[in-house]
Amino acid sequence: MQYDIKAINEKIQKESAFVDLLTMEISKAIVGQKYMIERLLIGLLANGHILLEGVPGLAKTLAVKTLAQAIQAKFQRIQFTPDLLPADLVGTLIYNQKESKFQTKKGPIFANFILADEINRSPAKVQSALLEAMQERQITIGEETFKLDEPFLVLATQNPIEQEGTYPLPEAQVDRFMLKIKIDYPSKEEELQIMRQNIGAQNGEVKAVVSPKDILKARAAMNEIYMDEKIERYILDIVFATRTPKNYGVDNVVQLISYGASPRATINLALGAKAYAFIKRRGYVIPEDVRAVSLDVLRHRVAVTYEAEAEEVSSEHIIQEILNKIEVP
Amino acid sequence: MQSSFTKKIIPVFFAVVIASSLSFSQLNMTPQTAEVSVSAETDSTHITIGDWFRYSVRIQHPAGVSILWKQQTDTLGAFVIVHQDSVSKSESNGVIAEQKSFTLSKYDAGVRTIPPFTVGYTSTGDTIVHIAQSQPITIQVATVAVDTTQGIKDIKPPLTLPWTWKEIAIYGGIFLLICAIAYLIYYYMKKRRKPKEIVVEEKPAVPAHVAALIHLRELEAERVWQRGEVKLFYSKATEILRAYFEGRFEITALEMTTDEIMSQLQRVTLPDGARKEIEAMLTSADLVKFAKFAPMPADNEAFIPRAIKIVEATRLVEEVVPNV
Repeated sequence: MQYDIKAINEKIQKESAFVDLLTMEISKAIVGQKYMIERLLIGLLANGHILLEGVPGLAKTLAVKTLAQAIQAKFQRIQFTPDLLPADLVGTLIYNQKESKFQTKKGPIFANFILADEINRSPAKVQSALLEAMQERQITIGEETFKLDEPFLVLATQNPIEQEGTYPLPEAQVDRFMLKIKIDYPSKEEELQIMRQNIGAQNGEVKAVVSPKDILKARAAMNEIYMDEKIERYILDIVFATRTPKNYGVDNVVQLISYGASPRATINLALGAKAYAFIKRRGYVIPEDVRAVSLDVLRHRVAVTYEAEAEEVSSEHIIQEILNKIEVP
Repeated sequence: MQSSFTKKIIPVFFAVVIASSLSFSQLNMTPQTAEVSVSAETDSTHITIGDWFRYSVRIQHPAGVSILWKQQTDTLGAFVIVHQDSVSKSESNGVIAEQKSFTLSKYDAGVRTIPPFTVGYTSTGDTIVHIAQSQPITIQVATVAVDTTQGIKDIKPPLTLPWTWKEIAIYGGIFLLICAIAYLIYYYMKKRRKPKEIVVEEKPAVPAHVAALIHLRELEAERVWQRGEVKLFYSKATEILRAYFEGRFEITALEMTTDEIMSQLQRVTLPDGARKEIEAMLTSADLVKFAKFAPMPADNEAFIPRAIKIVEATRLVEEVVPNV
């Protein structure tokens, strides 16, 4: 494949112009949370779903809703509860007595942005229905199959507290999320702004600045971003180091990893790095891009052992150790 | 008439009495006969409370008599049986002697009697069991004399027994086994640790700047970019520079991105313009390495001299203490 870096760079510069616009529009409603917004854009551009983890009240729902508003896309929020059924999510067939036939009643999943709030509160069958839709990007109700509209982005939230009565997502299903973002509390200054914004009348109205078409165009442009073989090998080194850390001189984590990242991690790490380069308005990927998305791509894909849990060593710590040991090209 | 009747009846009466007494004794096991004698003796008749003493029973009988020893369990009268030997037999001049000894003790004071030791015996061709007894023996059990003029003393500790050879052998064996296990563990650990010792990172004998300058000049002499391998040239050159930063500023620059290196270098003092120059060099090298950027030959030519200049400007200068 021939690459004209200059042309790609120019194209990316042009296509990524909306990123600043979008960020500015979102910041009208969301104070701070730059990290989360950046990752939401990565998911949106790389066509990957996102798992958000954070305590309640960190503007997770608001961020997704605002993003949907700014993109002029359809947004649906689904609160996952223990009594939720797959049909409540995907839709069902309803018998029409007048016409004596079954009619399809589409569920809330038929939207561009889905916020699956507290996904771990619903049983496995509902989780599976959502995760299947995420993977296939189509829904079958009765005998009819419906393709989901693009962009289709699922943002699922998990509450790290109150684990009683929850149904934790199995590792195989967690792997379907491109990124797992951990959201932290805002800084003191940010919280001051949040307070002022919410008690005053200066709540900014979010306007649609981008259309879903622009996003699809940006995705096509993003695919053209050049990734050198050195970067590809760097990604492979990181992923392989999670599987065989001893081969990469990360001996101190050998006993802490139960199993390493899957090939899906390699793909998502490459896509994430490209999306990050796009956001940074570059036509090529540099090691910084890989480093920037590594934690979010790998934290839910590296399973830790009981030994690590006992020592309170998280997967983030292990990934950081690996990143610090793998030579940057 | 009456006297004649009396004269007749008296002999009959005596005959009947003698006959009946004889038959009665035959039926009801007569007491000891002259054939079997039972004797008992002790090695002491005065003991202190809790002391042990020996009590022996000896039975002598002719051949053809079998003795039925009564099974003794815990006590013999008021005395506790500490130990009892088995019956031993001996024969002399047709007289058989059977002997059994007991070790007895008593845990309260006073005068106590060992009751007569009773044995049964039968003769050949005689199914009747006869009984023979020893004489009782009186034992005086005295308490420990307490000197009331003296004060109350502590209870004495348990007596320590001298070590036996068996004990010495057992404990010695255990000690030797522990020593052997400890040595094996030590040997195993030492063997395991050995490869690590080889991996120990030794500080380069040459200072970081000297090594960097040598490698930069070697790279220049290799004429890599002149052969068209521009990417390889910049990769090698930046690797030398990053290795130098690692050695000079003690940062893991080889495992860092350009941004991270620059962030780490913020913490160290560098000469004017050096920081900007390092950033420019690493960023332009990144463009070549990752963005297919093709620099001008003049830039390639200048890269090594620029790198040498950076190394020279930032190298560690050792202070020379002047001789007074």
